Amino acid sequence: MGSILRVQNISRKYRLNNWMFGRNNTIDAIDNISFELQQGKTLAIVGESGSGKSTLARQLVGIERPSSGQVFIDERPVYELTEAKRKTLFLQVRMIFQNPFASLNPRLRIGSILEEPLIINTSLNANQRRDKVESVLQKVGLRAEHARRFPHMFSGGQRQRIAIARALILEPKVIVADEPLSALDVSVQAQILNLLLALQEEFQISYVFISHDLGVVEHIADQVLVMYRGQVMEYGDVEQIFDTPKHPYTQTLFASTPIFRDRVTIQTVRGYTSRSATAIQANGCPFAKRCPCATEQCTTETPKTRNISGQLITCHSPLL
Amino acid sequence: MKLLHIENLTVEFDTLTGPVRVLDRVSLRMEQGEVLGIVGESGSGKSIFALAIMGLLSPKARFTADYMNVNGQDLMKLTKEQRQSYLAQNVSIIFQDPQNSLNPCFTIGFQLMETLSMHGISGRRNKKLRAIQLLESVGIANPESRLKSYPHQLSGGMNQRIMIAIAIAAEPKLLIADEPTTALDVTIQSQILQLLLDLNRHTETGLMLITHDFALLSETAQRVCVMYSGQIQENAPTRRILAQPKHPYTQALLHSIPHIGERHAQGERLFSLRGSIPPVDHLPVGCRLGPRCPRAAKECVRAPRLENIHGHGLVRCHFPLDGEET
Repeated sequence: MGSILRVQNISRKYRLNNWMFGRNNTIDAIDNISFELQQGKTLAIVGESGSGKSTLARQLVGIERPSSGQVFIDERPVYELTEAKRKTLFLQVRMIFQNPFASLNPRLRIGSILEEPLIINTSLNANQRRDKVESVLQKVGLRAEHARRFPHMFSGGQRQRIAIARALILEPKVIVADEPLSALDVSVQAQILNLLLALQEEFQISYVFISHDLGVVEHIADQVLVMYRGQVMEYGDVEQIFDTPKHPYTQTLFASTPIFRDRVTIQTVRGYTSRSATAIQANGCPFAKRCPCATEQCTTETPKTRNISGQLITCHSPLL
Repeated sequence: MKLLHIENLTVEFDTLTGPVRVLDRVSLRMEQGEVLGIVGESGSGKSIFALAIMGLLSPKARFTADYMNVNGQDLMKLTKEQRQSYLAQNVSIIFQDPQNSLNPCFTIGFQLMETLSMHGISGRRNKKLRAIQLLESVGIANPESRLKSYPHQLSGGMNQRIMIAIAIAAEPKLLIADEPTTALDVTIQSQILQLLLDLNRHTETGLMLITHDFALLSETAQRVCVMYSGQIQENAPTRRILAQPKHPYTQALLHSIPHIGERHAQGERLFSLRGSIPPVDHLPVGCRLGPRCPRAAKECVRAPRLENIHGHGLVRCHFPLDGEET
């Protein structure tokens, strides 16, 4: 079976204007990323802030065009097609945003919010659109009469349901969810997570699930992609990554995530992710400065991605 | 002597539709040097509680307590000015977002030394020496050059360290940390927590850790206090709460988060409560969890009291869970 969404060596560069010297520098927000997503499966993207997770999401849904590399939807290379064909292909990929308080227009009724993608992208008439809105509201656990209300009348969890309904209404094959739970209360997160899983089973949707919560990732994902500074550190099946993390960065993430255990000493790693572009070295591993097992080679030579029993690892000295 | 002893702390706000009670008769004790965790969702009143202890509530808030004893001194008997200076000597607080709690217009050295002069350290030289000492104690490299930095030049984790340095400048008996790591990445979170715990261990400072992350408390706190809708629902040693929560809400909090090491099988769903947190001006009659509780019965329209369960702790529920079901 072919993959539903495939990404091949995509990079995205942003230009930085240096106000003082007028020089233009570029920064690699994401650098040479490849992955493959099958139908009905979930790929989780994990990393700290500044690692390029959201930039990657923007390339996947077509908000931005990658500087290089190719995106394949249904095995068709998106950026070799005409504008019109590309648009229809991107209808298969929809997005859910982090904060449902910001992503819904407060001046539109729920019905209009949900109807909008249909008006723009389909030729359905008003009656058909209304039916569609009602049915999608039911799918996400809301009622048809909610279509006449405004976003402020809903709680955070209900708003996120509306955002999911908006992504779902065009019957996409892939949903890109950028931290869909982090703005919600703990007791509501479980409801939304259960809803996402139920929708996946019913409609065989694939998810690209961006999160920094490793517990949630282990629960929902089939594959995990660990990013740091715009590069893939480790990529593999959820069992591989969680049972045998081989990259020092992945292990660091696990070690510093609090889990339920009795007062053990928390493990820490030194340093922090610097946001300044100049700190990024041309050569060497981006994690070298903080890595507990860095050698001299790590600061001078960029590590290559290697395949170790099906797990892709970008590291000179992976922990085996 | 208790470090903190609060009886029936109630906070009300006047609104157009009448008074709204955001904290309802909260009683709490803390020993010297204890690490106490307060866990709750947004709207549970946990931050209001911290602000009430610090006397930082807006003047519109109505604030009553039978007894509010900090390190042996009843705050309710002091005037406003006395209370302020007493709290400044004994209690410090750090907030969630360090970027917003530091003043962007001044160097961190200025902000640190400002605090020091309020605590009776005089002379530029002395203040600078003490400031460098403080920055060293919170693990900042090159403290002397850092004094000249502005908050925007430092990362979130560094700024939070500086907040902690300012907070411990007065050598407080009690340090309240209101979601100290929510705005930070996990790897930085562990560094900051380790720092707070080290301070607690070395200086016998009581630490009140307010958070919504139960897992974080399981690693740090000796006792956990679960809040919901302005009330304490369960207050017991961490070990016992994790092993066997007695309140359905505590259980829901613990079971609705997927943990690392628990993989889900195809079709398996997480435990979740129905609905969402009631707004404070429309609280349900009786037990505040009532409409969402899977165990609710007729009895629950009568408000339950916080009662002591032998061998566990305090629980506010008519039907506390016993060990059999999970």
